[in-house]
Amino acid sequence: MNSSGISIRTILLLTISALTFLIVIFAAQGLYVEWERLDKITTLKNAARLSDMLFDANEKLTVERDIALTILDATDTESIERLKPHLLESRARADAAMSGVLHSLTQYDFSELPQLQGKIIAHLPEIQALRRQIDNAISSPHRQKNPLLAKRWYLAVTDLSREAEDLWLEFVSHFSNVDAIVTQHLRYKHFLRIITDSAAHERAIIGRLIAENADPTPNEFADLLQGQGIMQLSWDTSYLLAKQSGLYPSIESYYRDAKSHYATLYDMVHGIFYLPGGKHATAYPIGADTWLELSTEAAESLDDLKTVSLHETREYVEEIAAESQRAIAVHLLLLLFALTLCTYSFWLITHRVINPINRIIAALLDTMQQKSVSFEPLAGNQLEEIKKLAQVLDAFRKNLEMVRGASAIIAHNESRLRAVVDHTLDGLITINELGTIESFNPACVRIFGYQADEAIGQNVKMLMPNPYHGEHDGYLSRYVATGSPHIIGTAGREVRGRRKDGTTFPMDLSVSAFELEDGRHFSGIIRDITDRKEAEREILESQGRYRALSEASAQIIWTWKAGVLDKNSPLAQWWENTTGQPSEKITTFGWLEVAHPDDRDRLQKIWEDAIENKNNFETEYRLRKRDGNYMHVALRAVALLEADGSLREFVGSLDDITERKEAERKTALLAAIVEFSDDAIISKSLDGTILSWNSGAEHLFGYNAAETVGQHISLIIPPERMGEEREIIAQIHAGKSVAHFDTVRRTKDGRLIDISLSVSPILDADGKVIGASKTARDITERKRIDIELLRYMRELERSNQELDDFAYIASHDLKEPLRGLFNHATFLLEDYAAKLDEDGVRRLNRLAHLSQRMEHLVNDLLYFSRLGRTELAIQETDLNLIISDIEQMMESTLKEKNAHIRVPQKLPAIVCDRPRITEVFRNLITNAVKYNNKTERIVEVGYLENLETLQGTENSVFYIRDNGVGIAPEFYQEIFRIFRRLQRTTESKEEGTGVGLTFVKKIIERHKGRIWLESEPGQGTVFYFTLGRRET
Amino acid sequence: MPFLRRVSVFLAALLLGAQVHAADGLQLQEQQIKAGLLYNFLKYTNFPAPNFTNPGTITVCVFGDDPFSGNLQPIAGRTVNQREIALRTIHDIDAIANCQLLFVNKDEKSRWPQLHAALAGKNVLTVSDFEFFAAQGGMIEFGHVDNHIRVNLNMDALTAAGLRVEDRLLRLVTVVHGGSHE
Repeated sequence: MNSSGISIRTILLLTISALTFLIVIFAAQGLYVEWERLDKITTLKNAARLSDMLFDANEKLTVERDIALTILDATDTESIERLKPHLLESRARADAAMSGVLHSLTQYDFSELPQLQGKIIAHLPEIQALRRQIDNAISSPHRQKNPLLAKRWYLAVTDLSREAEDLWLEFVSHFSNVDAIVTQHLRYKHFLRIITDSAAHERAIIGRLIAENADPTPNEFADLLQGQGIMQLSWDTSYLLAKQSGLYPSIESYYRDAKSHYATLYDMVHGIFYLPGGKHATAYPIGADTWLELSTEAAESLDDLKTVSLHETREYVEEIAAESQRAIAVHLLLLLFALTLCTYSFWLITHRVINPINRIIAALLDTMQQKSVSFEPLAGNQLEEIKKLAQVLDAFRKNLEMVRGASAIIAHNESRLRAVVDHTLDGLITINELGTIESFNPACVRIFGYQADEAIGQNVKMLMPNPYHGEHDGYLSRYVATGSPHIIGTAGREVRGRRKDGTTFPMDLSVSAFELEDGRHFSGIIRDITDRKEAEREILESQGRYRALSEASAQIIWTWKAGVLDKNSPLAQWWENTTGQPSEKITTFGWLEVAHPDDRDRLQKIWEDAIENKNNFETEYRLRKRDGNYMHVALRAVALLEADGSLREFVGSLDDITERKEAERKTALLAAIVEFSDDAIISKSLDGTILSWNSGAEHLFGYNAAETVGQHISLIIPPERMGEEREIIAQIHAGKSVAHFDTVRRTKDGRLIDISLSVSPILDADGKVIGASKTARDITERKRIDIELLRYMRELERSNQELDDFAYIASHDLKEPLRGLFNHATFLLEDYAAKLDEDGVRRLNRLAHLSQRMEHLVNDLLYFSRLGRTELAIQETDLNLIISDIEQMMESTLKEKNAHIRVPQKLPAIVCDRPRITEVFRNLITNAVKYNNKTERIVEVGYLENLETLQGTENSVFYIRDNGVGIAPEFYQEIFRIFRRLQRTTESKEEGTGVGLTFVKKIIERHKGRIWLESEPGQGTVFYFTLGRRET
Repeated sequence: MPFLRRVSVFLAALLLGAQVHAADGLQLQEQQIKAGLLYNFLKYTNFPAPNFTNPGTITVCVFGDDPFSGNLQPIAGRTVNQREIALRTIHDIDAIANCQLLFVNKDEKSRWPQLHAALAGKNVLTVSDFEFFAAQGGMIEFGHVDNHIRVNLNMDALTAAGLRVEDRLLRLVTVVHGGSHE
């Protein structure tokens, strides 16, 4: 917020400044006044002091005057002598007092004083002169009364006194406005001084009269009376003044003493001097000295009074000075106090009001900005109002936060609700009493296909298929009229809904009504239950399937519900059949009775635990059959729970695992056999990972099982032999075993050893090759034998070769005689058929035939031996050409037999011995045609890149398939035997030598291939062969 | 002194004075002076405080008839040393109580010894004007010397009574019997 306006602080500052200023002004003024007053009082004090000193001096002077006068008037020496000391004393005192006054005059700095001083000083020389004269007069033996001297003396001193006094009065009058009291004091003292003066005058007169022993003259009498009158007046006036100025109480006792003394003194002499005719002819009863003494004593009483009065006045002045000073101090203090107060007020208000307010404002701002700020700390240690304000604001804040919190919660709930409504899978629709759709959530959009803005405002009956369409209004109005819900429907009424595209669907509808201030509304929750319906149907199907499955399964699928048993269930039936126990036993623990005693406890525990903790379990145990024998069973159970978590039922299976157990036993036995066999028996997976390693292997290779299981078989294969491994794998893949081939393996210590290796595929239950089992035998010994053998073999080979040669030579040599035989037989027939009888012709024919046959055989033998001997003429061969050649060649035969050669897809070009391979195809095709009794004889020649066989996958497989008579499996090997024939052909006219397949096999084997067959007797045969050499 | 009183005294004196011859006049004057001197005695004598039953009052007793012809009366009510003077006339010895100053009428001088005895131990200033008063234990004796009034002070008697006087008083008196003979 900008402080564009005037802040409290400013106003406060201004106010306080003004106040301070005013206070300062007033205080300063007061101070000034007081200061002035103090100044004046100080002056007055000094003036009073001065006044007293002056009076004192005057008095002393007067005393001296009177004593001098008395001496001058004294006639008798005694009196003079008695008075002399008094005179000297009084003179000294007068001088002292006077010098004191003069000295004081220099101390003060009043403008009138020089004048005063001047006046006094002016008289002094005369006084001194007169003194000397008096001294002379009294010490002179021939003393004569010198009334002139006395007079002059009297006048001089009196003048001095009077002048000083007048001047003093004038001086003092300046101060009359300073303090009236003091002025009165001074005036009062003035009257005392008058008394002193008059007393002194009296003293002088009477003193002289006594000394002269004279009667008072009328003048003197008048003087005396006047003096008394003045004295009396002065006593009264001074009393009044003292009373008026408040001085009297302090001086009362002294006043009375002095007055009493003077009165007594008067009483002593009034009869003598103050009464006419009181004169005494002879001497006065007291001497002049006594009189002086008495008068002086009285003067001393007055002196005491004066001293006290002086003291009082001084005190008073001091008091008022002090008062003034106090006033000044007070003013100053007040000023200071006021300033402090102002400052403090400023600070206080700033600190305790403005700052807290600012803090509160800041906190309010924070609160408005949603920050959570407590006002509590602002309330601590503050003024009541601030505290209350903070506390009230805190309550407001809390309220605000609550409201905000509530608003947030409301907003949150609203958004949650919105989210729920928007995201719920169920359609949520609200309508009013007329059926107008008011809200249509996204799920409804999805269900019905209408957009929200298309639906809202329309009547809800558009969402219903026709039957309900027209009725809904009626339902609604009836509901509205009667309030009875069942007319529309209560929760769970199943109806059909209609989508935008016109299709209908089953839906679950729950309706409820609610009141708002604008009337009654209805809300419906809609669920498309098409799926559910479908699911229900599926469940029914599934249940049927399950039942069927249960019945068909070899396993016993059972359900167990406590105390409940369906006597007709497969379980019950089977149980009674198998165990002979009544099936009710199953429902509780009774089934344990037919368990093997050794298994019973374990089973009981498992079963109890399962029931209690609703656990699934699996176990095996021995079940006693009806015949008393035990069968191994595997029992599995799964607990099915209700929605509330309670146990509904167990579902499980019971398998007869007797066989398996037996198999396991066998397996264990086999495992033991393997383990303890002397031979190294190693099993590996198809990728070469060693799966098992028996003790024989450990012994042979040096590794123990832990070192090898999991490793690759190449661990023991020397690098140069790795190729073998690949080949072995290939074989194994094909489902073929590799039997006893010699190789070299490497032991743990790096030694190479000769071993004989047999590898057989490990088949799984489906006959799929999953690994290989290798048996290795140290053949070092055997190798030796082998070398021997090899030698033998060489020998053998040599002899075979010799035999081959012999066969070749023999057959070659045989051919000629045979030919000769045949020729001769033929010639004989030609030439001599007429001469011979039927029998003889027949025999000759036979002879020809047989010799021809013999030639064929020899030819075949020759050919066969050649097949084994000659080099293959490897060349690129286009098989398709070969097939077409063959086809051409057999054209007539094909036509005759209604046979067709089909080549589904182009055969690949291969590298092989062309003629030989041609022969292979020819042979096979010929056989296919030959051994066929179908109306249409089909021969299919084809090529498969991969073929799954029992031995594994074979690559590059050629096949010749026929729909012929087929070959029974027991003859699969037989047919490849030389000179063997299975049957005669259907056309018995033709006879083969039975060497066709033999040749084929030989050729294929020469190509390092393999030939096998599959056949279905009566259906047909397929010959497969590989050629072992890669095609180009 | 109240003016009216003075006037009346004045007039009385006038009336009486005419009838009184000089000797009486002198006597009157003497009486006046003696009366006045009693004030001085009071002023310059230190009376021990405990004796005062009423510290604000100092009592002057006249034993016997009034020898001052009423001239002493005026001092009653006056103050001396901030104490008010009370005046009493007594005739019985037993009535001597709370007297600070006792003036014995010369007519009573026969009773003086008795009085003196009764005053033993009391701080009472005794004054009289009969002869040999001081010798008989009186403290201040008014006498005559050359027609002048003479004041004799018996210092021993004073001291014996526990009293002291200031030097100022000594200027007016002649000390006898023990004090320095002026």
